[in-house]
Amino acid sequence: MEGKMINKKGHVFAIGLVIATLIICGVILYSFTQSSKKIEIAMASPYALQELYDKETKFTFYAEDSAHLAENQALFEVCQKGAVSGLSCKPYEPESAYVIWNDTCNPVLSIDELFKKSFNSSFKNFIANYPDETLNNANFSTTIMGSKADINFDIISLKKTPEIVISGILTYSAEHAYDSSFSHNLEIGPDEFRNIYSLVYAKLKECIGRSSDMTLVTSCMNELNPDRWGMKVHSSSSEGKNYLLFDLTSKNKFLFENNGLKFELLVLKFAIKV
Amino acid sequence: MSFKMNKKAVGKELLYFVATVFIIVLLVLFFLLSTFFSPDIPKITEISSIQKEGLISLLAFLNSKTEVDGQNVSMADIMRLAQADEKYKSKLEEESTKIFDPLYGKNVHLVLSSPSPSFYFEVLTTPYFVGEKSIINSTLPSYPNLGIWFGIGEKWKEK
Repeated sequence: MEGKMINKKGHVFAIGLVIATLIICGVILYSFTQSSKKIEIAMASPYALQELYDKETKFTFYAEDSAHLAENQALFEVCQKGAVSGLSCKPYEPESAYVIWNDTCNPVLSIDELFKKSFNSSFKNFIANYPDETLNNANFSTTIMGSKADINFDIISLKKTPEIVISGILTYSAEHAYDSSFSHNLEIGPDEFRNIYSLVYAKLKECIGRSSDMTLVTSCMNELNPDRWGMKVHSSSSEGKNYLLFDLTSKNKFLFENNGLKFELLVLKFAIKV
Repeated sequence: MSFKMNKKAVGKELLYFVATVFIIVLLVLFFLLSTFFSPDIPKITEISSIQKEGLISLLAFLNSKTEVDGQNVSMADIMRLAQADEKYKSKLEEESTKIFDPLYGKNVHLVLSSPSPSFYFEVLTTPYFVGEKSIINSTLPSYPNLGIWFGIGEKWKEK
């Protein structure tokens, strides 16, 4: 009889122990999964924010690289047009690749507008092709001064989607305002073309002062040695008037699109009446 | 009589033993389950760090310049030119190996594909940088975009 009592207590104790353990495990497991969700949400926030910063880093790199390409393309287009624009600008008829520089058509008058127009057009195209709708529609302004191009983007709100919902009540998403402005150093800026104009006319004045003979003037003009350009001058005549034809070739190659991607030296051609 | 008492004592001890084993099994199961349900914080941190490190390395590489024919040219431009010119392709491979191999072993691969006549290069998403393929796959979704960054022409516009 006494032995039977001991067995019953043992059974109750063992079963009670198992049930208690099961309940404790269940409670712990439930609370753990709940806290795991909280940790996951807590981890998602900085992770999402970091993704936004990475997004910004990549876009900044893209924008800076676009500025570099836009500069190259603008330089090519400027050189193709003889660094001038306007209705008073005419080609040198016997050799139409040369544009006539004079008082009403020269780089001093039009290079800023011409360079900026070409730069902005290329830059805008590059940005528009960026594979992100928030960023490729961004507005920007450009200021080109001397050898620098300052580019300012409007503030863009980069929003991380999808939104994170906490307990079905609170919804949040990481958001980051991106305000980019940067300066791009131009390898050859509009100033370069103004300098060439001043340099050429100053030398021409000096050469004509020495002699009026076209052969000697041409030879004298060939003494000019601009920093970033190789220069060759030859004389020509059209309708009884003497002209000097200038071929400037850049010392460095540039990357531009012209029926395919090209990495070539730039060539600037212009003519001046003597 | 003594035989019966011994049998009961053995039964009681056996019951305690079974209960203890059962509890131990439950506890082990509990820990296994808790590991399964827990967020992999080290993994998230590792992914984040790989992504950041990879991005910084890649951008630094693309911004770096090397001399080609007496002129300093950025790696980004060399990548653009490598599509059509073997000279630039070899230079790109040489520089890429020089920069990435000490950092990531042989896990950085450069692929220049030509899906259209336009100048376009594509960098494979895997097996980039360090870590397992699965991590890289799931954490560098922007990587193909890097390829598009340097695409020029119709293919780029399509993307």
